Amino acid sequence: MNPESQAFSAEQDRELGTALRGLLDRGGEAEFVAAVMAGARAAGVGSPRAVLGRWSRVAIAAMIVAAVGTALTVRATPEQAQALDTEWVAATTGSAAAAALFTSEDAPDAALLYASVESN
Amino acid sequence: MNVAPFTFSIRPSAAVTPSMSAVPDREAAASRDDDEPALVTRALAGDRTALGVLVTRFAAPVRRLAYAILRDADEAEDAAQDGVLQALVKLDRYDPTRPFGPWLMRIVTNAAIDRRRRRAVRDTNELDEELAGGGPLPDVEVDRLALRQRLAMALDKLPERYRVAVVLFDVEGYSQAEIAEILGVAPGTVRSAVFHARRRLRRWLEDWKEDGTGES
Repeated sequence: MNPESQAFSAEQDRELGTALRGLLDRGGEAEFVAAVMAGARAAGVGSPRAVLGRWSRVAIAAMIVAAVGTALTVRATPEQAQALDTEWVAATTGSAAAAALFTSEDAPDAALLYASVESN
Repeated sequence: MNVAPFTFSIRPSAAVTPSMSAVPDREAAASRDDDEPALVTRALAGDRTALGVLVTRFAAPVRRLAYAILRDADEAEDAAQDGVLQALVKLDRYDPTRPFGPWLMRIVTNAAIDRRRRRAVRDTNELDEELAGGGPLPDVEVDRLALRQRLAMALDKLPERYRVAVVLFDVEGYSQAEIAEILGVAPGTVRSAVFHARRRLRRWLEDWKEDGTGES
């Protein structure tokens, strides 16, 4: 610890504080408060619109989170279902080509269709 | 310019006791801080009375702080208004788990410093005018104004960081940690600034008092 830290008093110097306060106080607080409140009103601070705006921001954020969550869930579900379907078709028919054909989201490929028919 | 009551005793004959109640103590400030998050919550919900209570409570401290930084009454008034308005507009960003005062004071400090950087501070000399005008004054009144002028000059000579630190500490009653948060510096820097500011102010004032005539 340096000497100046040791000499520092953590107590308020009330005599100096009172002198400085007397120097810095300028009166006219009522006018200041009135001006700030008028500015706040003009800026819409605490107005019903601002309150609604803040809640709507929260609501929009919640909706975005919910939408993203839903999208991720929906996206994950078909993949899982498709995997099960593919396994089920392959197990039932005993043909990987048939499983690929029936579970594909795309139009059937002629070569794949031929392969499936040929395997049966 | 309004002349605020000034109770700093300069001669035994003047025998004016400093008004200790004029400076808030830390315990009182701490208990007052307790209801400020609730006031902010009410203000955010549209309660204009709560907003008015907050603005009224901090009107004097923010104006003193801005004046200590800018040392120009008009500039300080504009900076204090700008700072408080900025704070009110982003009141929903205030963290209610922390004291409201330092959060507001930090915004006002930045507003005042920004204003000082943008504009050249006008060199007003209201105190000289106060001494020069108005005809003969009683001795006590002359002493009071002369001491006020001396203190103003001493404050002007202090580096800004010393000025702000000593005002926040000895006038407004904030702790070292709170001032460090307001100014964005380490608590040790605050301690050093208050120490040096007090030493210089006391030295200048003591020199003047010992001289007796107010001329050093």
